[in-house]
Amino acid sequence: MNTLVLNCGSSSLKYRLIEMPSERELAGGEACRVGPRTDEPASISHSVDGHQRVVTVDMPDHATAFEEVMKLIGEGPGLAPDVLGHRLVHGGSRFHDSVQIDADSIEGLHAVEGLAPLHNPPAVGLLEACRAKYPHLPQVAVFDTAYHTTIPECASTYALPLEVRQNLQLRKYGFHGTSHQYVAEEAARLLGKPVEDLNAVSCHLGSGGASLCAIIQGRSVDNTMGFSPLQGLVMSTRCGDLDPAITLALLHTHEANCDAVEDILNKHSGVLGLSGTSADIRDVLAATNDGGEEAARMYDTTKVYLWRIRKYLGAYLTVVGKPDAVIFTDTIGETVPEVRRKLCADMGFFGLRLDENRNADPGALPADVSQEDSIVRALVVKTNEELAIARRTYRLLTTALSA
Amino acid sequence: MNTLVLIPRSNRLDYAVFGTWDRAALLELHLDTMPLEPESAAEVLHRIRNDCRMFDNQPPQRVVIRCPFGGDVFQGTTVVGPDLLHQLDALSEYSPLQVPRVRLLSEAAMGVFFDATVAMAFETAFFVNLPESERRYAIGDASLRRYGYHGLFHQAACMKSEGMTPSGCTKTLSLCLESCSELAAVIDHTPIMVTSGTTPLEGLPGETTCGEIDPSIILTFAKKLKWGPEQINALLTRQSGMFGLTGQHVRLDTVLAACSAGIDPDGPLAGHDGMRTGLACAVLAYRILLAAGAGVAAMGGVDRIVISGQYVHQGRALAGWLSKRLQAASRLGRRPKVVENKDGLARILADQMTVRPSMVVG
Repeated sequence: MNTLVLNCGSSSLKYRLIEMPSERELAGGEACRVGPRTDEPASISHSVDGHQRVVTVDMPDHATAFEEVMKLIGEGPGLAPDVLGHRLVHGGSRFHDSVQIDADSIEGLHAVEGLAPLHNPPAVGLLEACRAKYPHLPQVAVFDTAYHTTIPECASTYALPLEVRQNLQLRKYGFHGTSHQYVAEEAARLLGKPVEDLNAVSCHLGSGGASLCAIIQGRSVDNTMGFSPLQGLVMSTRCGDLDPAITLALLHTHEANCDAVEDILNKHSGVLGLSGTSADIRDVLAATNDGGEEAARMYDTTKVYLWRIRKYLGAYLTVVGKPDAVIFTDTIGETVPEVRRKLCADMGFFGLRLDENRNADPGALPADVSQEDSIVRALVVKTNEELAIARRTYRLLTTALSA
Repeated sequence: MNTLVLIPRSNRLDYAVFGTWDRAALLELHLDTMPLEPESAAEVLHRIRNDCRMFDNQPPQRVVIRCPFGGDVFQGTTVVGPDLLHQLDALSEYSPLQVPRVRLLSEAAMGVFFDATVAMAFETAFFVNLPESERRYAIGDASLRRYGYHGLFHQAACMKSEGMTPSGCTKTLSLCLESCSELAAVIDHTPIMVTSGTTPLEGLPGETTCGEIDPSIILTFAKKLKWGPEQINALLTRQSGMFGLTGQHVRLDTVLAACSAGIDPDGPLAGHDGMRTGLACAVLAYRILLAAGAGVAAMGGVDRIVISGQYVHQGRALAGWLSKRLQAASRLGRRPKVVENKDGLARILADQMTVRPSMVVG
């Protein structure tokens, strides 16, 4: 079953064609600058069997981008997709699991569109366009929030009046669920136990967004992101946790201009706001300590970035109680040993001891980088959200067929 | 040598007198008004001075006034003088409701208690030197920082547990149970983490304050409900927290009582099913658990939990549960000891004048 996984960004469309259940990648790529024309031309970077080419093509919307992608895929023999798997950022409280698309689910998706106004509308628009153009192709929506619908009420409830919580659907939704679930399954496999028995803290540390997830018996019980992806850790340009009074003060200063404040908190804060020069923590870590003001600022940025993760790591290790593992994943989690080393330092209270040598050179992933006598294993697991979506899509459709 | 303690609140003035030897107050009263003019402040303080004369026919030799905010300026209890008043003027813009009325009272106290040492104790002083990693927010404005707002309770908590660890290095989780509760992680006498932030709004949910929320929720209020900053502020400070969760004005002791009945120490967090107080209890307990875990990671372990504040008695069960959860999380198997500091704020303030050796003279 050839599964075409589609990941719709606000101005991009990433795709991967995966043969299931062999999990062999057949093709992949990314359409960039989807939407109104910009200075640079819109293009698709398409890759088959390691051969990459770039096609320049006008793509005023995601439906057109998808059409162009289908043309490129159709050039290769045996590459026609049998099913489409879509990544949806937000499923609200309505979607607790992946869902096969039909008229009801489309209606439900429209109902939760407002919760992710940048990401969901183009993805839902694409779903509808695919449905109109290829009605014979089954489509599945996989939600980033679905894994977190098991977060208990005590953790998902904000201490706000019931009426506003209900009216505005305010609760902790959590994000990066597809990745957290995927690495939890991989970690369980590595530890030789069923995922239903896995207790862990998953650290999805991306070069952009980042979140931690507390996992008990394979299920998410908390996530550092909240109602939106803004809450929680210090991210590349997102502020993470903030005193509510600061957001109010910003609104006051900017004469209640929400877009301006949203822009500050989403695009000019985090590592960029702290360092003043780079949004990438790797640049900050690599900065030379020459004793100057700039170096001091970089040093402080690193400290704030790591401190926030460390505090949440301790919080979630406490919530989980007897974790089997701490899992590091995504760009920073997988490729920056220094971050793992600093986060795991002095965590003996929780039974976590990193092996310095293994951590410095973990080799092929997944890898266990903890000391032999560490009660809690420190694992580095490569995330693969597209494969996770393909797996969920395949599982849902084959289950439906067998039923 | 008697010490007069003055605690200005939004709509009343609490005061107490302590002698040299007895831990209990000689006198503990409040006036149902908080003077807002120099003349009325002086008049109120003259009445209090006369009240004090009933003990040995002596006015107090020491007066200490509680100030909720001292910014980065005040690192300890400070003798009131012209310099201090000038510095308070500069701080007024950061705490416009509280600092001006404390300043007014201080100036009046200097006149009325001309024969006493008048000092000011700051709630934020304990946290002035928080590590950079803890006090900074991940935004461009480096002047915005975390303070912490129950420093006097936390400081007293650490003195209470002094010398209890053989190594001499005590890692304390200090949980202050007040209407707006706060948890701090302190190594010996040095705080390294605290739940409150630039204001007391951040951190644990209070009786009417929201505590930690996603920053985008505020923008959602502004965008979808078309609310202005004042309206949002009113919701977050006066209609949220335990009030927001239960739908009724409820004191923290009521919620803590529900916690005592509803927390299964060996099971998942649970409140009273179907009861909104149960949800409030579960939310509060969970947030405290998260903060405690964060504090343990910050300190690299924990020796004891000290609880204090006006709801210390009702917090006993919660602290016991917290201690058990931390023991469960610890692979070293140690259970942090729970210590209660039952001293009230007035007693703690009086101690600032009699026990604290490092009183800063401003």
